[in-house]
Amino acid sequence: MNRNNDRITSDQLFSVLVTLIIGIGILSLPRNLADKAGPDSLIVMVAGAIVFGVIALIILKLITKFPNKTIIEIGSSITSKPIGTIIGFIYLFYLVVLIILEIRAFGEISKNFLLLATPIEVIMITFLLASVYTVRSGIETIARMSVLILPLSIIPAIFTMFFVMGELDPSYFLPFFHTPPLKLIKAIPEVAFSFLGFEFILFLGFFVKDFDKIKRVSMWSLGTVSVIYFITVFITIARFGIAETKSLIWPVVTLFKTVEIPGTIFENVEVVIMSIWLLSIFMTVVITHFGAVFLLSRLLKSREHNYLALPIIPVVYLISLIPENVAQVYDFLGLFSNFFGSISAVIIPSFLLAISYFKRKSKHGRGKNA
Amino acid sequence: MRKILSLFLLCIIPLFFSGCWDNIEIDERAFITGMGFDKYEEKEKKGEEEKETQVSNLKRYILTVTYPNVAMIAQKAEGDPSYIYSTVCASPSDGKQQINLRNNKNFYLNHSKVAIIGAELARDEKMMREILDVIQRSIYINRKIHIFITPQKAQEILTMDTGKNMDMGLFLEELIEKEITSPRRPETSFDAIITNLRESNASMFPRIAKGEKEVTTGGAAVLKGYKLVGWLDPIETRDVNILKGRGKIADYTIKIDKLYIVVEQMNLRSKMKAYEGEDKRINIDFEVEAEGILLQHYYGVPGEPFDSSYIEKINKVTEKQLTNEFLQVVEKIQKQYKTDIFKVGEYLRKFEPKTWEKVKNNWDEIYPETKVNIDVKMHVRRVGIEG
Repeated sequence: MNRNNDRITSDQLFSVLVTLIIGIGILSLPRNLADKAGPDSLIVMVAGAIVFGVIALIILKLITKFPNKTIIEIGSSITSKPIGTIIGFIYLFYLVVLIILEIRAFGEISKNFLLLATPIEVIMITFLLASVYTVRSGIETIARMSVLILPLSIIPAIFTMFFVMGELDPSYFLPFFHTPPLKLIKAIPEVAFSFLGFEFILFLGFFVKDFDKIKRVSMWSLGTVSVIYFITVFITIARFGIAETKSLIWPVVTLFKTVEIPGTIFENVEVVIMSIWLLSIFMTVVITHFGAVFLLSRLLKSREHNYLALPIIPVVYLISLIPENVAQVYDFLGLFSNFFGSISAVIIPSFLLAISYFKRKSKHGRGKNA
Repeated sequence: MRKILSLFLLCIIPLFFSGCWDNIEIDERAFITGMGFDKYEEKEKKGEEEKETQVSNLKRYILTVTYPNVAMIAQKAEGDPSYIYSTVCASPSDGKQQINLRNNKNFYLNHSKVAIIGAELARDEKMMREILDVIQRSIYINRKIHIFITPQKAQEILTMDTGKNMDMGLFLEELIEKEITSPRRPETSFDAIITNLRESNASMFPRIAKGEKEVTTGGAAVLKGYKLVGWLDPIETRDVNILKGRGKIADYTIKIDKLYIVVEQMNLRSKMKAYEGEDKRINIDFEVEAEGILLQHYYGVPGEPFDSSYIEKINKVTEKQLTNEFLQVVEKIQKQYKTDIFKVGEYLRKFEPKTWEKVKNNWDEIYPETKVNIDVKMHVRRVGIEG
């Protein structure tokens, strides 16, 4: 298969990371923040971004030590082969469950706002099939697609938010620092987990052509996402107030619902915005799907990955229909991202990094002695 | 093989061109513009005990909907400007089901413009919360919908003739959204009202009433904790709006030296401050400042209005009169309705968190006892062209 050379540039990596991280999480992020941190949401937002920045630095440190290698090989070379394989399976499991939850949440949102009479099964299957097609085409196609989708989906949405500027009341963020500090610290993971997806760089780094730029580019993408999150949280809470934001399931969608573009040509703008927003969610699913398929092919020691894209779909589809209702989906999502998110993004990378330092030191020590 | 495949594809492809599953042609939709919710009250008590199993015949609401005769707007047909359906129902969605049985068009709420709530319903906290939830939870109804409370029945308002050969929902939308707005009416959008209700447990709903021939909007219904507690007339509503900083233009009739003159206020600015005074009482300060024009004086007294000291006198008298009027209105809201429309609690929470910690648990008792100070500054700048 020589359709493409399966390499991406660091510029493409930027778009990939941004479209990957921004997905369904942002739609409910202001609610979670308002609920946990109240008027101090913005402070927590910034603190969360910084905390995740530190995590990102750990991850980046690890992969720059092993250029163009996947997490399985990094794991194998630092510890031992079986442990590397186990790590690979952990990530595989994590990615598959992520697709499952994302696809279900996506289905719930689009059924709720866009396709009211279409069965959720149909929404999910068509979405998954489109994802299979994209994943089969390889990382280069995905990267090019995300370069196209990034300006198409996220920029109009952010731009539309500015139409409510006149109705904002920033005083909802007062009083400053009046939430108990412990409560604020507890709210930080809420933000940090909305950056999940970044750890995919553990295997996306494998494809990057100009590997030396990877650190700068990924920090830039994190910064961009933080700014988008910050704007979204600020506008949503300043528009609705704390109490109202808390009570809305997807406050950001409701925000789009209240947008009035001058002139009566456009009404109910949220339908348009949600439709293009779906592209961003689509990219999240596609990249997760690709990651799962790619890791699986590595674990199976197969040279090709594309024939694996379809077989995992039935599993994903069937499991994604297990949650009884939308509340349960979000319960699972919260629980899962808290637990497995911290394992895959924080614990494993920092553990591996620590071991690698330790190993190198002991090697140095031995060398001197000899 | 290739042939079979292409034949197969030919059969499959048309399926993808069949369009939306839930497609409804635009001319088959009933674009509901106005909704009315009333409490259903049995005219005569039958003397029977209430049957608990009468679920199938539960009568609680009267739902009224109106939608315009679109063909008439396009000048392709004649007839009534709007179609109105009204039904007694257990819930708004039950009403929708009943109307679906009677109407040949598809019920469609996405473009609804106004919702009117009858006063009887608004006095019933339980039902009021049901209706607010219906609007808030609905994915069809726009949050910007204009919402009213009427002292009469919503049904009566919606079935009125606008006299302009127009649908009532569209008529009210135009009336609210026209360029020259009035400060004698509070904010009408559901979105703004519900946010106030949530943050301060108090809100003003615009009032709508049936006159002899016309419908009139003006004044406000005061809600406390999802329940109607009283009314403000249009003038009082204007004063409240000015104090809240929402009213920017007003024209007060001022009595000066046995003359009634009219002073127009422009660039009205109002600032509220709440703090704990030295005697441990909560003080609420309003500072209102306005520039103005003398709109009407008395014909045939040349020179008088064109005199700086006379204008100064007008300023003094206006300030005094406005201060008194504002105090009266605030007292009515504060002592009679005990409703925190001015968002004093919210102010304390945001800007005086230490004071708020002390008072928040029994704010309901403390609020009516707070001390109100009002300071009005009036600057008449121009007097028109008659000296």
